[in-house]
Amino acid sequence: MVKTRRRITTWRVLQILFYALGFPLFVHLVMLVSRPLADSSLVTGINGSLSILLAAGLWVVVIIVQLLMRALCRKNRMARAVVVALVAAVVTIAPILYSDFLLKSKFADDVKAAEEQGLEIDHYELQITDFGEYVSATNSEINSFIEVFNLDTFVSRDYNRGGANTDLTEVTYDPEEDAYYSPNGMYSDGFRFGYYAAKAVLTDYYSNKLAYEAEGKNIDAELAAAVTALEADTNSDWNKYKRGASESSFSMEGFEYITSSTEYEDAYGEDGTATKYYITEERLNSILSVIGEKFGANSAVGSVLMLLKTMGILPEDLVDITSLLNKDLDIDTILSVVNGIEIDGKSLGATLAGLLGDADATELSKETLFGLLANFSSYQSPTTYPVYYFIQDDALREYAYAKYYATVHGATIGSVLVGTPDANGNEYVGEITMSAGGTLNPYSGEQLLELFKKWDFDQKMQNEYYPIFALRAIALKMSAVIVFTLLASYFFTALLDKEYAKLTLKTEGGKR
Amino acid sequence: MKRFLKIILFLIGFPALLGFVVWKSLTVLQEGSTYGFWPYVGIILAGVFALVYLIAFIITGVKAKKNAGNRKKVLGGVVALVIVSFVMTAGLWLVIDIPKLLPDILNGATSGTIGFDDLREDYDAHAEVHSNLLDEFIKMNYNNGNLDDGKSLDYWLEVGYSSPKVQELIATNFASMDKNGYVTFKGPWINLADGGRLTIPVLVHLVINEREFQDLPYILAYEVIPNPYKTDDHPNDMKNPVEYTDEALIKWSILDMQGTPMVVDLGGLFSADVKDAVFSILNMIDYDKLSSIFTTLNECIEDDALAGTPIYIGLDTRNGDFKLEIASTVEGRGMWDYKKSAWLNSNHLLFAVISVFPARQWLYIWGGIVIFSSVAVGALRLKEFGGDDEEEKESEDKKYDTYDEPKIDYSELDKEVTKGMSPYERAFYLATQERNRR
Repeated sequence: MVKTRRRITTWRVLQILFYALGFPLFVHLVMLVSRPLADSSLVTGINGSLSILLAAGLWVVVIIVQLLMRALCRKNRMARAVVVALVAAVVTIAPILYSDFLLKSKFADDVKAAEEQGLEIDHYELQITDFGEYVSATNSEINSFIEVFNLDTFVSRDYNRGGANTDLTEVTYDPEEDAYYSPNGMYSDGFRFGYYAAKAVLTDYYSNKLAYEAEGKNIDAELAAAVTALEADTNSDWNKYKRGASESSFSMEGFEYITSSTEYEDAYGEDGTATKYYITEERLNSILSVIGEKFGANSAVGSVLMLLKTMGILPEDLVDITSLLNKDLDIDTILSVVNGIEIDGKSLGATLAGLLGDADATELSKETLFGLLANFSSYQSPTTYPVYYFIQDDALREYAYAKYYATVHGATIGSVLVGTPDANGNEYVGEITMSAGGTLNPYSGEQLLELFKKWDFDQKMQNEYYPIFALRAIALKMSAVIVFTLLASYFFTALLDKEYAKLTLKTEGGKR
Repeated sequence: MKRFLKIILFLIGFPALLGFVVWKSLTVLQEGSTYGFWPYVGIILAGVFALVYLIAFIITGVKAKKNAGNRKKVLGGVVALVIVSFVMTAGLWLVIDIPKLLPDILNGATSGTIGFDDLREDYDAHAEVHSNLLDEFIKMNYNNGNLDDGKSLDYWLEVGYSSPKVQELIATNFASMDKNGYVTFKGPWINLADGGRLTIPVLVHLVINEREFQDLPYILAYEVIPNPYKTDDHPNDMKNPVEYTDEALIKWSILDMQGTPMVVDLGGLFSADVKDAVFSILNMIDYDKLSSIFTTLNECIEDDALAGTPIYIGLDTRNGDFKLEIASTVEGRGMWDYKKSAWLNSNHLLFAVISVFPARQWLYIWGGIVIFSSVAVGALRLKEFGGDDEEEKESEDKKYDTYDEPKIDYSELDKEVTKGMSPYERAFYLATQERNRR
């Protein structure tokens, strides 16, 4: 009796142990090997856990066959075990065969296409071995990219409060592009690029810039010329748009206003929905008027200026500033004073314009000044098209938008994608804020475009191939083990049943 | 003995747990002593759980007695008690914790400014921080004359939030800061600033964007305006008596939302020679004149054409320093920055939330002991009232043993049958029959 019980325990433990060493261990190992995929941001949908689901699916198939065989073949235990083992062998070999025969040829086609784009791809045998390392390496590269451009996370974010822009227009989210858009189709006021948006902007920027350069053209000069032409031509679509002309009069095909034909005037006219949010000439003049009035009323200003002149800190022939300090102080007055001051035979205005990049200027113009100011204070109305929208050349238009996002929008939200090189040619990008100076851009345009191509291919691999490769890798090692352990489990079940049969005899009055 | 054991086991269960919860809540209770019952919420919650357990304990005990001998029913009571002990300790918290119910509530209530993980173990430190918010608020408002009434600072610190005047001060002044401050910033700009993305364009937007304000009351006896030009001879700020108790337009700038003054160490930017030269120029200019120029600059910023609300720019040349200071109005107006002011405004609720954490922690820790004590009490009850399976069987056997078989008198029948038999044949017959009958 005691011996029988001991044997039952032993066979039961071995039965469970061998069963656990089969499919449960198989699923667990697939889970471990596919963890980099589950953690990868490039993997979309269920692909991160596809290999696990497939492994579990194979197990379920075998369980169903086990149950069927139990119902169909009650008495012949050996037949049941053989059939189940055969099915287990087939389902575990299937992913290997699928991968090595069907998927391999598809892989070869994709590799060929990628190599035509200049990518160097490791061959199939290396990919099926080292896919985990490839995933980790790509993740690491992408994390560096995210850090350099201060994207914070792989996915984008809209910083707008309550999901509305500054002018309270609605923001919509496009999950395919992982981007938040305003009604004019541009990124929302508070949109912080995610990986996909940053990649799209940088691709548009550098691919067009480099294509122009290859033709010996300067795309920035071409863009400036196109914008100037649109501004200058009174019959350009841009000027028609600003005037609110009828949609049919536009040379652009299928043009439609966003809200109404007065949308531009509504945004940028007097008390417009956009003019409240940046420094216009009127706004600047009203600020200067207050400064002029308040400082003009303070007698201390005059005496301090006089003292500074006496001390030689200010030139003695400097215009009487106090006479300008009144409520009529405006930008024209300041510009005329600045342009009137001559230092070493050159007007101060011209010197300042030179420092701002206009070396040929003879004076500091209002346009130059407001051009500079726009870097710090501007507002693109979410309900109007920008001038770039009306550029006819597709490449130039694409570049114009990308440049705006990479520089102006990026500088606003603290994620500069394309910086302005300093005197030493150093380009700082990413986190340029009041407290941070950004990161020296480690990528050239060519490098970025190459990386994007590589990452796109990696994404394809991670979604279409690696889940099967993960399953294949474990199936290869476990196929025979599963068949053996399943059979062993059946064997121990038979032994168990035998012991139970003895117990039944005993209760019927057998030998004690 | 069993009764004594049961009492001991009961005591090391929920009563001991309550004791631990009270002990671990002492700091929270002490720090939130002026917030009435709010800091007691955690203890009350644990008390309610203990009460539910106690009711289950009594009911199952009474039923065990009533059903004495019915092992199945007594065992059912024990199982019920164990389940209640699990549900009322770790079980309920698992339901709250795992689907992130409490973390989400906390996140929503504090707009993500206080995280669940921050409070989980560090509740004492948070209680101190939130108590300090009130103490410092009282000090600021005692200094600016809002809390005076001829009483000492110690008095106000002692009465704390229990004083209706303090409650009114917090509620009124925060409503102004919220509705004429935080709410007026549309779009992404304040979130970008708070999210470590304060760029120059963001700052310009925050300063010049048109905002909508409303007339709201604000309580302030004296506004402490920072001295715009601090020197060793003129180190103090200025007190400007104002009273905003009626409906008045008080606006709040982005700097008020952030609270912390910005200090730029100009001395560190220049070489020692340049710094000395600048100092000598500053020393040649009359203090009042330079101070007046900074005051005019601040008046310009306060004008509606620019920020529309004060932002104090000034120089600090004390102790040989040369610093540019850009200060907000919050301290002068007796407020914290927006985040802390919002906390202070909801401090009673936050104390209630904080007080839940020591209870949560010890319900988890001591839950196992409560379950054990319930099982142990159950075992004693089973022994006492549940009878015994083996004994039952034995008693059943005894029943059969003591069964008196009905006696049948076969003597007449035997006599009849054995007539004419030899003595040997009769003896054999009778022995066989007896065996068979037996």
